[in-house]
Amino acid sequence: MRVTRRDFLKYCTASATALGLSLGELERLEAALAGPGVPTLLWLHGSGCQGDSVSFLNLYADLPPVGLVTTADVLINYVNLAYHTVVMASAGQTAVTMANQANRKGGYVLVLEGGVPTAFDGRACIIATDGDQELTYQQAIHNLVGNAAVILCVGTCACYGGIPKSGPVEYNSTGVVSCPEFVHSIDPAKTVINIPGCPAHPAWVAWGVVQLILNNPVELDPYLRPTALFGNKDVDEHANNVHENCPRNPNNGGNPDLATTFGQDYRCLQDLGCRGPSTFSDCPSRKWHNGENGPVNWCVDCNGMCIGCVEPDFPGGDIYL
Amino acid sequence: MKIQAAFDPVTRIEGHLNINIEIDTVNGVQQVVDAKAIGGLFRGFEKLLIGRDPRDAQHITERICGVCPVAHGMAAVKNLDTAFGVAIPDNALIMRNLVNGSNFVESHILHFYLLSTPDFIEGAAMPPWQADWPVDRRLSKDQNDQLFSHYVQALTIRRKADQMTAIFGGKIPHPPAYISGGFTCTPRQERIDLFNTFINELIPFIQDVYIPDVQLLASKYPDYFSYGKGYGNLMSYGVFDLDTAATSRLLNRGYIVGGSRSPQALDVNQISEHVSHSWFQNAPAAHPSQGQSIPENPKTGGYSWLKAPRYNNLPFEVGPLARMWVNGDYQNGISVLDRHLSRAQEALKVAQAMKQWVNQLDPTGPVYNEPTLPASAESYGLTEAPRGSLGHWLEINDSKLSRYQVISPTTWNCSPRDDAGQPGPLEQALIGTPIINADKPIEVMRVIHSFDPCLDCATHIIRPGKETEVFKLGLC
Repeated sequence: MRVTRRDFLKYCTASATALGLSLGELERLEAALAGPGVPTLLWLHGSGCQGDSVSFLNLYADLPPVGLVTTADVLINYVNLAYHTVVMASAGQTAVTMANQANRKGGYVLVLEGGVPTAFDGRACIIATDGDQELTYQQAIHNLVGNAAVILCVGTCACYGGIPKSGPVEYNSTGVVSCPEFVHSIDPAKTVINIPGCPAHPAWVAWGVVQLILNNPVELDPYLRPTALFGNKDVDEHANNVHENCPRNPNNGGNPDLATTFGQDYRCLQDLGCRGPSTFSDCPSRKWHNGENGPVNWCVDCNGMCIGCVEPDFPGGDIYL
Repeated sequence: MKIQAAFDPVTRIEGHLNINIEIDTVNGVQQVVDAKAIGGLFRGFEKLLIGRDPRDAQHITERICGVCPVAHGMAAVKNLDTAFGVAIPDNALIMRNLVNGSNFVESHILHFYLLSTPDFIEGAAMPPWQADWPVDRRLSKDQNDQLFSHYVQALTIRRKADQMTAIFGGKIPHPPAYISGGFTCTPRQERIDLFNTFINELIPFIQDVYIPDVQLLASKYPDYFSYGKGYGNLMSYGVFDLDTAATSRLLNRGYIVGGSRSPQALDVNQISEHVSHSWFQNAPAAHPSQGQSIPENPKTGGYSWLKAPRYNNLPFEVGPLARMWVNGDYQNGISVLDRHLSRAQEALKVAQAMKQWVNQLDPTGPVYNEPTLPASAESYGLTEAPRGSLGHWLEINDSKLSRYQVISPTTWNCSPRDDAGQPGPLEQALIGTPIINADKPIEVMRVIHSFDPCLDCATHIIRPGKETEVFKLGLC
């Protein structure tokens, strides 16, 4: 009987006996499936909150041409997640060794979540001990950039530094630099794709992974964001910002009366400080927390305002007017 | 012969943790005789808040932690409500609780299945589930396979719990709906109906899958009722205010010492932070509204970026077991399994309470009272994150934030030794743990994971060079 990774998923989600398979059989299945075509991901955490990892666990997206994709799908069918400290079973040296083995093999996707603290020789973020050597996030990136096929920066902290890098220069006490800046200081030619957001929308991250698996060319804007997700006026004068695409915009049939305080549904929030007019993402159409019954909410629909979390200058100055 | 071992990284936690242990044979039993918990990440958050509009605090502090952002949002807006002197509408109180409660349920399910079960079962033989130490597996093959199938089911269930969080919270991580003066989201009827749909699916999962799975582990690993006890000092700030004046809570505030079954009233002024074994210049222990932290690394005796918070100069464990114990809901014992069992029972208690609360919302009632910013204020906000007690302290001058301090749950649980040399709660809980195989001490991972550590909040701020003023955020 030929079984696929998708059968394996069915097995897991249905019940232990649904397919009449044992985990021993699945181990053999796995050996058979560990062939070429499934990219290895090494996912490292730096100066960030790991919220992009948590967000990714919420994946439930229709991604042409592959269709519905969930977190379990990605983990089981699409990638070989060789290093991710939040979910991996291995710990300590065994975990570090898995990353080292992938490094020697090369050709992996290096996923970076969190900016790079460079002060104190990088010791603001010590991610592991390798042998008897302390391994900083900065050093780990140094070690892994060379043999990576591509660098995928997930979340605004990795893409642009985010909150730890925000404010006046003297506030950046751990010397955080963005991952693209740090990677390009090692190898200026290395391909880096930014998927910003605080957190990054899980569908954006999965979209990036799918493009890499399909070997599709990805057009990037000057901030290294895929224009397919973050189209903006720097690259396309006709690109719409969040405000221009917002259902609350009076030009789109929204209420002509703007919100004057919080808790007023269906009214445009620009007089309260909404950053929709300076933010470029597909949130107004994609919304957040998709599932069997569609997306649940998004920042504007809960009157919480867009605070521009995908933009390079996030978090910027005062949020409320 | 003594064996030294380092576990770095400790995986299946949030953040960066290194555990150093010493194993020796005492009275014929090989066991952990010493342990050090080392936090290796610090970031800068408070400095970024200095000079900001106080109303921004929840947006910035939520981003301390991707796993418990809701609790930071809650602590921040409670703090600001006090500073601004604003009362919130009942609808806001209920929605704040529903979003926080949903995050509790999500976090507890995530913790048990994704972070803890790989210590006890074989997952699929592929990354990320390939087992590190496939030792001391006691489940039958069918039980093992069923528990792993529940792991995969939990991927979907916790996603739904996050959807439920977003119904009123807007999105998660980092819900935008928390605001001083109330809540931005409205309890429209379709949202109430949708929340009911999700909670009606989650409660049976907790009752019929999660709790029985924990009980299954308990039946197979009864020795873990005697491992990982620690001091038996438990503390809770209390959470889920049941009225806007916080005269009662779903889970009460209080503390116990040495496994006592009689909780005592908590005096917030008795909290202090010690730095003698942290990488900060030595200074007397100080209250979080007073403390200074000047970095010093290397430093004789220092081994962690975490400070050591103490209550009445004693180390305290925080988390679901502490909350349920103080509230009188769970007093079976203090151990690895008691932490898992009380966490699962708390998930059910909170979920059942939310089912009541959501129907108390007034779909057309107010959600927000606009506060007036004071020129100056000093206040604090206390709440509970899924993994324990969380406090924010602030000062406002010239209508801007002039000081901000956070002590998060994992600062309590994973703290290093204090000025008196007392190990932190996790360190103490590890000491005495029997080790079958010193090369593969799975027992150590089981004790660590029972605390659900989250080190993302290790956000000490340091200004290098001449200006050595340091602000500190703890761990959550």
